[in-house]
Amino acid sequence: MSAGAPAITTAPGLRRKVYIATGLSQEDLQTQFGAVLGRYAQAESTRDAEFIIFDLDHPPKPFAPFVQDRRGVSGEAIRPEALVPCLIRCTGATTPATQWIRDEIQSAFNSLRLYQSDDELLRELQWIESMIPYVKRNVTREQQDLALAIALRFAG
Amino acid sequence: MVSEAVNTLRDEQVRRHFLAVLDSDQPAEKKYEELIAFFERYDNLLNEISVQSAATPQDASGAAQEVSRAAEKTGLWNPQGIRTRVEDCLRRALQRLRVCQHGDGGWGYYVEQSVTWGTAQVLLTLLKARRVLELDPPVDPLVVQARDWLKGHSSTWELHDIPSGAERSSYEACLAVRSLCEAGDASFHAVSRTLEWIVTNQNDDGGWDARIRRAEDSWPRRVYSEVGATRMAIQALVVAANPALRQVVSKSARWLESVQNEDGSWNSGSCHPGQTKPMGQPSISKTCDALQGIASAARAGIRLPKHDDILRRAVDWIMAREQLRRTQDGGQLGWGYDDPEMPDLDSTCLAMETLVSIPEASMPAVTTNAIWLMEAQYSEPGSVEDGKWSYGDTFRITAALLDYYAKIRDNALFTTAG
Repeated sequence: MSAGAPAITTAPGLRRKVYIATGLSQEDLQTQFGAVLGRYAQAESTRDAEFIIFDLDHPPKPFAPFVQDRRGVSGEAIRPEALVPCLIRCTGATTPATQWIRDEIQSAFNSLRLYQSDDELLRELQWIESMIPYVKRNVTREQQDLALAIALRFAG
Repeated sequence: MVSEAVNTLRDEQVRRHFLAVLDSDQPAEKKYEELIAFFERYDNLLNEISVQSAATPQDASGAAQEVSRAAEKTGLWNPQGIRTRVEDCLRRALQRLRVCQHGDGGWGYYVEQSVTWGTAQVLLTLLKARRVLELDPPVDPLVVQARDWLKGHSSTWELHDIPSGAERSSYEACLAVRSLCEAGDASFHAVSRTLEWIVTNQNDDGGWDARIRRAEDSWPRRVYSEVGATRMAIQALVVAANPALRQVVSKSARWLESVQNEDGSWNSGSCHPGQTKPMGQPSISKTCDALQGIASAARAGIRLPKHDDILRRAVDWIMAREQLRRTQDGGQLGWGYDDPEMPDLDSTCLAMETLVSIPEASMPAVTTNAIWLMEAQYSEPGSVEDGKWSYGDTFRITAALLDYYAKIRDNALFTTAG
């Protein structure tokens, strides 16, 4: 599925935003997810995110909001409220606690894939990125209003 | 994606713009292309802003600067070009003011016929120019001559001692007072007498009449409150920092509020005996007058409880009347206003003068008004006519563009990328 990732359609220079659902501190997160954060901007909330990575190695507390609410969505790992893909990273062995969470997640989605290395995860992110032709832009309401007025009145 | 486009199309200014496009006589294909081109511009610009935005939250000025840089990079916005163009336009307009001064030291609208309105407008314009531009040669001698002319002709504008059967304009008297106070002549006897007259002749409803006759004439007085006259009186009192300011201005601002139409506008006419609301039609010029009166009162600390709502409704009403001016080949020339009461350059000037005085005004929108005014400036290098507006009040348009220039000088949206 992820082999031969197509060219990415994102505007040049634009870093797309990933929310990492994890129990790690910000400092540890930078170390553990360095490969992802080297390529993507870290979203501060799921609402701002274009992708969500769920860290099964260090699950966030509470974990349920990220993976359990799947009203109206079947099959794929999509977080309904944010309507963005949710990828689950699990690089190490599961503990009894994480196994329980894994089982819960497993029961929540019809098909579930765990990404066991950063390479695998990045390839998948790139593939999804190329498939989703929109970007949640980092633009405030005030900037949007100014941009609208300029685009409307100035043709260049 | 679909919902984003729908939301954009539901935006009031977008709706107005494309209704005007649809209503124009361009070929249908060109209209369709214009719609696509707008969405492409908007989309590119939002992407570019996103690229420019740092991950950390920014203050409002930084956010506007990012828009400016992004818009400049996408080729839509040229802040340096706008500034240079305004500076050149003002330099030529001020030169025109120099050369059209009359032999008696005053200014007017016909050759060698100086009038209070024109001279007072020029005095205000020169004072503004001195504040916002580095002028070479300086305008100080002209300021002195304008002051002297107004003081020397005070018997023609004062509201005391009006000859029997004559009529004076409260607009003119208030403008003369305002300009002389701004020039430092608040203690001049005609200024203080006129201020006293303004305070003691406020109508019971809080407004002022526009046309003034002597008390002894058999003509009803103080029953014709008019929006423009009330604005002029408020501004004169505010500039003079008159001691009666709070009480009188507060009453007049409340009157303006009470006669605002449901749609946010004000009417063109005046009240009449037994008629408590100004007659006539909703008017751009009177709505601008009312807004400026209320905004001046607020700047002096006299703020109506519903200030923001009053201003928002009025600004929405004004902006809904803005019209796109096109070049002969269908390109965008600028945006202006038509008012049956005033030529379109003057109503555009008044709208721009009003909008720049309001912090919430959209500066890209006001910029297109400025561009339309600059497009209409007469150009004939080397001629004494160069820099004038043939179909508008050169003095007032120059003042409005100076206000605009003062506003963009330190505005983050006009910061250049370099």
